[in-house]
Amino acid sequence: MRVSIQWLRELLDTSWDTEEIARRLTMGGIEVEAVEDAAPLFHGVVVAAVQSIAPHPEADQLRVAQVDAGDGQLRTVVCGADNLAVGQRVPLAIPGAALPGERAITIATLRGVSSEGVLCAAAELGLEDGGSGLLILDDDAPIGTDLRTYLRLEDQILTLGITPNRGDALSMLGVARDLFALGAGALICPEGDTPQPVWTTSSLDMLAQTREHFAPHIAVDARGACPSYTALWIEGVPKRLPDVLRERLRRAGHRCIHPVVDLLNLQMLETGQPLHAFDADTLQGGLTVRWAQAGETLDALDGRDLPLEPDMLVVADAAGPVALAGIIGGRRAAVSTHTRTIVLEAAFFPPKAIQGRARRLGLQTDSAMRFERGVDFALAPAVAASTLRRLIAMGRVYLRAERSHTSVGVPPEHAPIPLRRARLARILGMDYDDAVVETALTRLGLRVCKTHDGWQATPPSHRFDLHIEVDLIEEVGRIYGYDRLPLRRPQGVLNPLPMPCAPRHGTLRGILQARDYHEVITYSFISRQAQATFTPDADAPVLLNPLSADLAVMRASLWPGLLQTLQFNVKRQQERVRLFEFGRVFSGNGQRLILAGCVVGSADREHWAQPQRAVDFYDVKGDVTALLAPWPDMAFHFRPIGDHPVLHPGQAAEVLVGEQRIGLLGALHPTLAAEHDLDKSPFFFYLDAEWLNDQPSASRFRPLSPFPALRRDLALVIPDDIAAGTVWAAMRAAASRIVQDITIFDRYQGPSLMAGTYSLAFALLLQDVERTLTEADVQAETDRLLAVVRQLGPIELRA
Amino acid sequence: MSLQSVASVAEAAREIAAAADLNTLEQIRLQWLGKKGVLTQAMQQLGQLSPEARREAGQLLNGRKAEVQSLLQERKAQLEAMVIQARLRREGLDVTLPGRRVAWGSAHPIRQTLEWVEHYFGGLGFETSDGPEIEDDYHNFAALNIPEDHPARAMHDTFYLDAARLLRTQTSTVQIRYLETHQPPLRMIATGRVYRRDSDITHTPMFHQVEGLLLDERASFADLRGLLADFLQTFFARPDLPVRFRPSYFPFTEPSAEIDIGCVICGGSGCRVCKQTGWLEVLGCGMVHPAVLAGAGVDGERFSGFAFGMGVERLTMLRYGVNDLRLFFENDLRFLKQFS
Repeated sequence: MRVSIQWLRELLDTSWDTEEIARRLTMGGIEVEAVEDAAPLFHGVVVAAVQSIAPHPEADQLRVAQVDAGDGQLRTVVCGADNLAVGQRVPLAIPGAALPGERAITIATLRGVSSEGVLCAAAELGLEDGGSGLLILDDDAPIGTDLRTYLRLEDQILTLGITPNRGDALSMLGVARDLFALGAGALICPEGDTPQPVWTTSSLDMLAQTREHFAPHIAVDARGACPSYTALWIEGVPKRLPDVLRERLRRAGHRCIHPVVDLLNLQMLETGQPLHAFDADTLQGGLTVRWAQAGETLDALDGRDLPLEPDMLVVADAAGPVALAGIIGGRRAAVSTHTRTIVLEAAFFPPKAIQGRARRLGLQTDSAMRFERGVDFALAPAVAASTLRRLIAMGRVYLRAERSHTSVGVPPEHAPIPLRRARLARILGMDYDDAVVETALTRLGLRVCKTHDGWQATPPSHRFDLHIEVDLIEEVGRIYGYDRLPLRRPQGVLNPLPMPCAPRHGTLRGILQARDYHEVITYSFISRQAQATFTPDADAPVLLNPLSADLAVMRASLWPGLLQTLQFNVKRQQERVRLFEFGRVFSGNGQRLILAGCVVGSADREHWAQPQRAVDFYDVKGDVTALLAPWPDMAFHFRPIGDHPVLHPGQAAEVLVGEQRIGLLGALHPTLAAEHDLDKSPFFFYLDAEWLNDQPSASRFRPLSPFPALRRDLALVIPDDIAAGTVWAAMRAAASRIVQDITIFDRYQGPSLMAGTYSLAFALLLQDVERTLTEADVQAETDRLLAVVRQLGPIELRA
Repeated sequence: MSLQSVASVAEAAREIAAAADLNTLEQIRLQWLGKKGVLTQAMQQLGQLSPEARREAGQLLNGRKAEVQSLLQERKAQLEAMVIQARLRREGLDVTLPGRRVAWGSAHPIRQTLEWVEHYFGGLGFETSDGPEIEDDYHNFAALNIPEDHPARAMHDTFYLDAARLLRTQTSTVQIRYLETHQPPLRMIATGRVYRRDSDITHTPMFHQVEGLLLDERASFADLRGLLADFLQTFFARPDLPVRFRPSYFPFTEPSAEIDIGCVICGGSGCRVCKQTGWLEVLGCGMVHPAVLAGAGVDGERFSGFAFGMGVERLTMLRYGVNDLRLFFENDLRFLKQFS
């Protein structure tokens, strides 16, 4: 909300300057988001009267006007605006003037005619009102007056961020009230603003009996949703609002639309009471406030036809809804330039009757915003009266009292709220003098009385956010000032926190960082297309309201995001990209934490003493194996998986513990790599971080042997169809306790071997904890292991 | 005989001094002291002399022999030292060339902040907790005192998956989940991804939050102020960082506050980042609302406490001076490498 300080000062007598007002509001809970001048700096612009207009002798687009700037002489001014007319009062920048943007005005010759000044449009003066052409002032604007004085432009505008609980602050009056409570000074009651209504007022029940012709009818089941409804029949439409009030609307961020609408907006901005006006001549029969019927629509003022639902309150005539109560009017009965007679509506709709409907319809209106948050029940008849008075003051307007009516039902209850002294002290952390509490609450308009353990306070009708004790505690704290509350460190029992027995994710992150990987964070939603490519069988949830097609489904894999990021970096001339991400993947009913990575480029950073080599499957397998190192006792193995939607069928393996897959790695399928403009296939991996997180990793100590270790190498010739891992695993499974380690230190395939075979060289490290091993021991063990692997197929010792 | 020996020792000394390497020196040793060496042969001839002359000549020859041996040893030591020196010179490297396998990986800056925050509050007894990213209306809204149709729902533009499920808009959901399995007194911290349907220069549809919760029999707003002032001053490594508490509104806390810090970019004099105010909003907090406690089955008379939440991207941007939110999710390596 935009608040003019000038206007505010008409409602509040305070010695605080703008800066102080802004600071106190912010520290009192109404955040001032910006403070700006009502108009940019300019000078030398005065009110001038247009005396005559003649065509420009040389240019069709221009006209030559004689204007009177009040200094006893007529000035000749060349003007291009097409809304210029004789008799108008307009702003004239006289030679020597400076307009915003350091635009200096001099006597200038335009196509042969000397112009003694410039007639100004609003935009040229920084008073942008959305209109075009010259800024036309009131007919009685005093000629010769400085425009800044005339429009009272020495003013500042505060932009306030008002939280949803504070409907009461959505008006000038509300802001003034809060400042008063904060100690700013005295509220000024607008003089005579509480006139006695001159029309009939009756209770909703009485109304049902009298059934006056023009009295609005409140449907029986809608009475709770409309306990106060005033409709005034007003003949005539006033002239436009005076300049000073038009300025006021502009500063509040509103455009001038129609004299009636403009005045209603001003009244709403000042008091917080939304008002509406119907064109009486377009109404068919009397008004009824009722719930919408299924299938009804409203031809709303925003140009759309809104489908109404049975929980939406409407104002209707015989032909159907003419307004969505408290939210938006309809076009059929809207006030227009043809309007001669209006029905002015001032009503109270409780928040529950309005909340949510506007949002459901995609609407955001000043009226809905206020009713949703709560408008003072007592306001409607009073604001109707003051609006009428102002309309009459603007001229050519009178009330048809016999066709005007107020119906009043039961006001919302404001029950007294208990406030305990001890509770106040406990929640805020300090004791207060009774006077501080009572002053704060009283100034906020609550009726306060003492009780044995504190107070009891009844909120005023404009507050919708005060119901329970802590609501009052907050008010006391806020008015007293949060920054005056003490600052303490929490005290309490320190319970030991559970410590994870599994390595934490930080450990895994550290392993990858040490191996030159960079962590990325990508969006959890991806395109349907990427999902279908990477995880064709995924049943991950789909967003009902995605931002775009690229962010439409919850990812079932981290790889699409990683590939996209990898591609992004490759396109930015990064040749070596190593990325990982920790994130959740989603399925029909699950969300699982996964660690995934991808690499492309050279195996190592380019180094002067080492030839470059492209990263390969075994590099990535090494990374994955290193990630599992924190679980030294976990028996995992790799198994080829063959066909996979996105992996190279010959370079893909699953990581298994027992028969459970805990991860996957492999090269991106070359076709897919090409589709992503990658000339080399990147490698991908993932591990189920959530599963790993549940695996304990405590190691058991094994005694160190004092006896020497022996190494024995075994070179085997193996048929191609027996994988190295099979032989290795068989050997490890069969090894006795004296075998400390079995490593593969060479693989050979070539002409010296029989076709269809390859050779693997194993190094066995043997050591016993009880004695020095003999050659016979070693020979017996290797013979045994050889016998075991020979059961796998025709495997021979290499000659 | 004796004169010849003297003359030849002088010659030996010259040869030894001139020896350029260990091989030459060995040749000289053999020539003089070897089995057929000059002095060895002279010793063998001693037997031919008279006993008296033999003693005299023997002493003389032994002296000469010792002299030559000493010269040889001295020279040998010199030559060996020269060999080592030569080897060291040969093996010298240009130590200014880069080393191998300089790993330069990094944790994402957002992650670094999350870890920092978890670690900080962990030290103060806050247990790290976690909750699902796909949530239901109850945990994301209703249990947090945000009923259907409440205007506060407009504060969150929510992604929905179906009638029952949504992407959590705040980590405050973890408060509710934690309270389902824990009883006060308790201290909890939760971090993670949250989602709002918003995308522009200062909003991304996914971002990170930290949520904290403390409930016990004495916690007050004053404790909240102390805890968070300490946290912010430590996080920004400025013990004198101005911290102010402003009344605000969150449906699940009351009293509620927003916390501003003195602008860490301009030092409070006013800049683009702080919109000329000198203050930066970094954190929302408040005393847990009785409705939330009641919903969680906690006795709100006996236990009170507070909750706080903060945007991790914002903290990270301020901490490192990052000027564009979107950099965090573009994952440009040139950006990530700055946080190694």
